[in-house]
Amino acid sequence: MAVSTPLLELQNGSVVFGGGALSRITTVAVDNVSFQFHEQPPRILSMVGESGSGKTTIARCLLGLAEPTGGRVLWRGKDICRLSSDEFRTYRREVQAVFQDPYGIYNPYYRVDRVFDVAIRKFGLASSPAKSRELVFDALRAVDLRPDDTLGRYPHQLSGGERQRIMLARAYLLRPKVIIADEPISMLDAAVRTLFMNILLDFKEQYGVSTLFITHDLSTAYYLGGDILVMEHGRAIEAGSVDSVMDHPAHPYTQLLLQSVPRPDPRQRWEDAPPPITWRRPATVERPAPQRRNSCLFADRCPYVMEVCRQARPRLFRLADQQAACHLHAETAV
Amino acid sequence: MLEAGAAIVASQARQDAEDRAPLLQVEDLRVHYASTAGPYRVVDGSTMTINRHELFGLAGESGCGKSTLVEGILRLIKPPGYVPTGRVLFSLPEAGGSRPVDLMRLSSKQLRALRWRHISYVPQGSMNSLNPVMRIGDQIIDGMVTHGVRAEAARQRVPELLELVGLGPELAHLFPHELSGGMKQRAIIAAAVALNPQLVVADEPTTALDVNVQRVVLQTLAHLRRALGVAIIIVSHDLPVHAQLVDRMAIMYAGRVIEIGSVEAVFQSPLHPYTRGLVASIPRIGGPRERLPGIPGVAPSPLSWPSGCRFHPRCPYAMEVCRRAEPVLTEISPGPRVVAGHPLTVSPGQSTACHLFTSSSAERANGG
Repeated sequence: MAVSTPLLELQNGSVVFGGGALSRITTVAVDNVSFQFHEQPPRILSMVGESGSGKTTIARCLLGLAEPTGGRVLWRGKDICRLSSDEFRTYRREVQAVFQDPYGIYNPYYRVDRVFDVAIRKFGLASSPAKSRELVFDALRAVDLRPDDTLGRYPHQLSGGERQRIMLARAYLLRPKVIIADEPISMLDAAVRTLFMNILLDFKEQYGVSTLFITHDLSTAYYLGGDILVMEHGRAIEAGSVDSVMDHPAHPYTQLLLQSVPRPDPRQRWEDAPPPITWRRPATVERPAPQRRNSCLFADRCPYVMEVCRQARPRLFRLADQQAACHLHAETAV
Repeated sequence: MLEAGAAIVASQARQDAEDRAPLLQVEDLRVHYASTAGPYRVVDGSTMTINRHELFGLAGESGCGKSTLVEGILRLIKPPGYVPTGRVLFSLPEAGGSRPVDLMRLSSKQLRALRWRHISYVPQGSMNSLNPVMRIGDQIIDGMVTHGVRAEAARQRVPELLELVGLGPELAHLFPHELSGGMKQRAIIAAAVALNPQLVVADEPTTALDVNVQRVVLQTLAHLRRALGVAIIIVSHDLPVHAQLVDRMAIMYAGRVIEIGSVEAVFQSPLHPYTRGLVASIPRIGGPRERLPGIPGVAPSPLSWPSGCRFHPRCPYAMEVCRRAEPVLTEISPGPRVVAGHPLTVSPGQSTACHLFTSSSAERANGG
């Protein structure tokens, strides 16, 4: 494949919180994470990990809502902190967000129409009210909503699933290249989740829209397919295609996550089987000491821990089908 | 010798009969909320039975009335909410047997005597309601003392309780902020079983926990049932949680229980079209990569439930009768049958509220 400038790229992104004048305790929320989206081919990248692993912080960086303390966010090869105002407008239009809480993002005093009207006005999408109406209708139909039942209503009159789909419709209206979806379905019900994910798949297949899909639910990542990035304590510890990672997870942490997913089948129960890895956390709150940054952060609970794990941070080793940040794979790395 | 044997057999038989008698029978329970726009009929006629020592799951999408139903059962509804109809028979243990009492008719004093000693409740998000300035052990003791246990006896029981939920005794000396979410949830569960109740009701016990912690909490609940014989009602919108844990389960839709059956029956041969849609919407890791259907449409509002069967506007098999008459939860005779073109096997004890199974016209239309 020809080397082209990625559309959106996180380049060695790190975010460190704290460490201000009054405090010496710092929290490394994101630690040297890189990935990219190209215009072609579009892809769905699922970012998974437990709460506090830095998923949302990465989303905020990509959206320009937080600035990485190390590394850069590049849009078409340019640092998003240094875009001209015209470029920034295009970036804002091409990178769209869907957030977790469909209840908190609407202004309750305005009808939902405003979500579309503002977008159309800001980006000058329509030359006449009739054209604007056509765009909105088209966008609503793309997410399986009936315009007549949706427009003119207030947010409280719509269900969570409808509100999340309106956010997708708004994104669709702007014809973005990338959608950053931060836990978009965690507050939706099973049946509505599927509808939402099907729309993301349609967007990719029909309109070439890539999605960064942030989730803690591995079965939804499996359903979407594409690629996966597993986060732990701010680090990317495994990356690859969903199929290879879920079929033969290389990092012990990914193995733990996969074995903890409840299978939706009463014939495949854990029963009394102890969790594959004892989940021991120090009784007191963990304060990451600076020296721990030079070790594998999973070492304390890893059943395969070796001397080297506490002395050196494993880099992302390239394996046959995927990459994993684990010293176990130092020898076999390609 | 023989006589003694007969006595043992008789007492065993009495014990068996006792075990078979249901622990909790909910009959046509309704919970409405008064409003200027008319009553919000949040729970509108729900019926189910929970057996002794049973792990029972209550599932349904958000807003279907799951939490309100258990609050109704536990008499926790506050104005403007009220319970217009319904009976909740709880079999209260007494010397030499047990006696069913209607929880809806108990005085607040009688209820107080029953709570925690016989029925415990772990509300949603309760792990965040621990007192932040009190040690875990003291909070567990506090609860027991309030319900009449002597302080010294309560203190001695704490290590044993923590052990039951897989926590070390040293945890008793820690404050809530020193524990992870999963540990807090397990500490709350330990407190809930402190007085050996017959029934624990846990509302979304694993929501907001990471998957690896969720697994530990679910295994803890299964262990408690084995160790103490306590029956547990688990309320969760997450179907895989039920698949892993419960013996039997009920599915709610729009304020009513629409299907009850063993967990195997519900997952392998769901009867109600809504249940079928729900089960078909769960992505399975390692399964074929194909588009799942989901259930189109949106859940109705408690202010204006649809007429007849409340699922009919979203149901692919809706018939004329579904618009008119509200189907009643009925036990379906077991065995294989073909319903709306789908071959399925009804398991013993499987009930549903659907005209496809109960109306004679539907049976004729589908060749019986």
